[in-house]
Amino acid sequence: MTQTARAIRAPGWGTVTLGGHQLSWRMLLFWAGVTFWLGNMILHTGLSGIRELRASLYFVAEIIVITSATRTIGLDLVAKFYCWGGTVMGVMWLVSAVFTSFVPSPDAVSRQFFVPFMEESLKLAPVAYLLWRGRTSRSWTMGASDIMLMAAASGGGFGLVEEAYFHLHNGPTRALDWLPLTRINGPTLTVGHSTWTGLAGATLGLALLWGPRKPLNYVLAGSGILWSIFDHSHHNYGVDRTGFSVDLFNFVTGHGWIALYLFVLAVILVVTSDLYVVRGTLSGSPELKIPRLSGLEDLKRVWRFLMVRRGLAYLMFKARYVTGRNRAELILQGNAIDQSLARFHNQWSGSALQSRTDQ
Amino acid sequence: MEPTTKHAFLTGVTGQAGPDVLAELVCRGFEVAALVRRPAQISGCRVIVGDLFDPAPFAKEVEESDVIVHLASSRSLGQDEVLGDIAGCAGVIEHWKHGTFVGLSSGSLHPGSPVALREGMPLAIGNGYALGKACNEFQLRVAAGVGRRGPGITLRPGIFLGAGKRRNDRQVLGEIYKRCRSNAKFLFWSEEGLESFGSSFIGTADFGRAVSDALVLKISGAYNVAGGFCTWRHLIETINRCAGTRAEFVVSPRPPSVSGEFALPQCRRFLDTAKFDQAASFVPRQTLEQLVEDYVRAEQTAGVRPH
Repeated sequence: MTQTARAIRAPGWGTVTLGGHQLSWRMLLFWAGVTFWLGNMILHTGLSGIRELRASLYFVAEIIVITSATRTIGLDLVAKFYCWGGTVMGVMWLVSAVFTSFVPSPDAVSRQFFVPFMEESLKLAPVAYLLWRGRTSRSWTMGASDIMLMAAASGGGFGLVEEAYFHLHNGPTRALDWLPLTRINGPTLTVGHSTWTGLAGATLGLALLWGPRKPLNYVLAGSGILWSIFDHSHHNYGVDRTGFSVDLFNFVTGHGWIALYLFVLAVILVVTSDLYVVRGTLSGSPELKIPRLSGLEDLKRVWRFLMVRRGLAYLMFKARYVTGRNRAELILQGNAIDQSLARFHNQWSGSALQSRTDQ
Repeated sequence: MEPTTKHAFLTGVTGQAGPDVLAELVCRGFEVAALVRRPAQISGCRVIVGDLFDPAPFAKEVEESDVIVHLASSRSLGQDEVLGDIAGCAGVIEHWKHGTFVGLSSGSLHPGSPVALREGMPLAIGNGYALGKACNEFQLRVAAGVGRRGPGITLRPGIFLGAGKRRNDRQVLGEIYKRCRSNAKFLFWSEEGLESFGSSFIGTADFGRAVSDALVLKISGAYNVAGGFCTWRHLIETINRCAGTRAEFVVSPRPPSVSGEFALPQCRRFLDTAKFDQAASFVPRQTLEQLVEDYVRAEQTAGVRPH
């Protein structure tokens, strides 16, 4: 790694040396969390956990496919967020242990509201952290699809152990064919962790795309996670309970189906919004034109080009909502991205010329 | 049917080339609304007092204009001024809804080179001013053609030579003239430099015509604009001849060390203007001699004018 690359990657949390290798505390926490998460799951659920992994990844894969025309993040980052979801599950396990020491009864009403609140917040925390960390740079080049995808992946990773444990002890449950993580129990639908967090990420992404600093958008940003907490609480509260309060919960949440409809609506809005931005923000400037494929080996390079180009579109779209110095700084950033696309074209035409010469 | 009047929105009217651009737009039948920072009496246009950083008060004016000519720019190299330049341009672009947008960039974005400089060549971002111009070119390029917007044209002129009020406001000719008046020695690092270093230039009246000619362009992008090329030596000798000064040349590969010595940029910046000249049918009319004579006359008149 070059000095420059090292400088860029210098972690903010300090480092620790293990076996001659320098590791950042963040990476150490990440791997410890992943080990705890997967180790715990395999220890307690064995093969059931591995089966659950397939269903969980199926959901994430669906979102990856749906957002393939609009996202700017690679699969490596999606995988990382899936693992971060598992890591925060470990944190939640600790939080639950502390909470249980204060409120030992598993049926306590406070538990049915506190746990969903903490779980939904923790699942979204890695996404919120990344957005906060990139608040002057990378976050501006992200579309709503990116945020929704990262959140769904984080939720998927988080829910993996719980789903595996549930199915091990309760056997298989009915699910929607196209959403294998859902559980249908009579009239009630439980959409599951990945959908809850996906919904929270979608509204957050939409709010950041359509005007990061508009007051009304704070409501939009928070609406997804609020509904997720509410629906999650409905799910937890309704277990082994009957009566007016459960009926009221069921009525307001539509027996859990409203969360699903909201999620589907959010996905449609996210993808159409992002497509609108990607297609409508940038002009046909030469450096922004998509290079022509001359073979399959070019696919990866063109895909990379497309991701960067989309990032530029999101950045320039969001730049409209800020003013003064902040806007100028975003345009400076956009200019740097634009130059990298121009360099890509120069290299591309150079290599195309080379391949023609070789023939 | 009555011909409809075309509306133009102009920024930078009080700048070096602004009055000439305004005169040319008026001459071609445009009704011009000019944005100025401080109240001023400017004949030939409707004056709008406002700040580029707060485009809301003049947004409607920009939106309804058939053409937008954005010349206003910060000449300072400070970070705040550069960011201000970018934000100001963004404010105008934000409200650009239709028609052509002509923005002023700079020929100094091109690196010094022995060959003629074409628009597609890599740029040299040597300072904050150039970075601001590159960013403005970028944002205009990205915004052009989106929705009902017309082409976004960026003009990269050679050094301005003019005799207007702002002729000495950080302009090359004013700086050289001042040195010539003190009979400075101009330092060149080589004989070859003495014979070849210099820059493309354009008279402000020619630039006014170029801006108006640019309004017919259909293809967005950057265009080099110049009225000619002069070596530094030719320019200094012309000033000597017109003003009766006695500036000299010294060839020595060292930085200026003695008082009275002065080094101009040791490079050749010859802009290839074929793309613009052909597309806009632009023919410059002002010669170097004429421009220097006008400048010297303006300076001498100002010198005898009682304060």
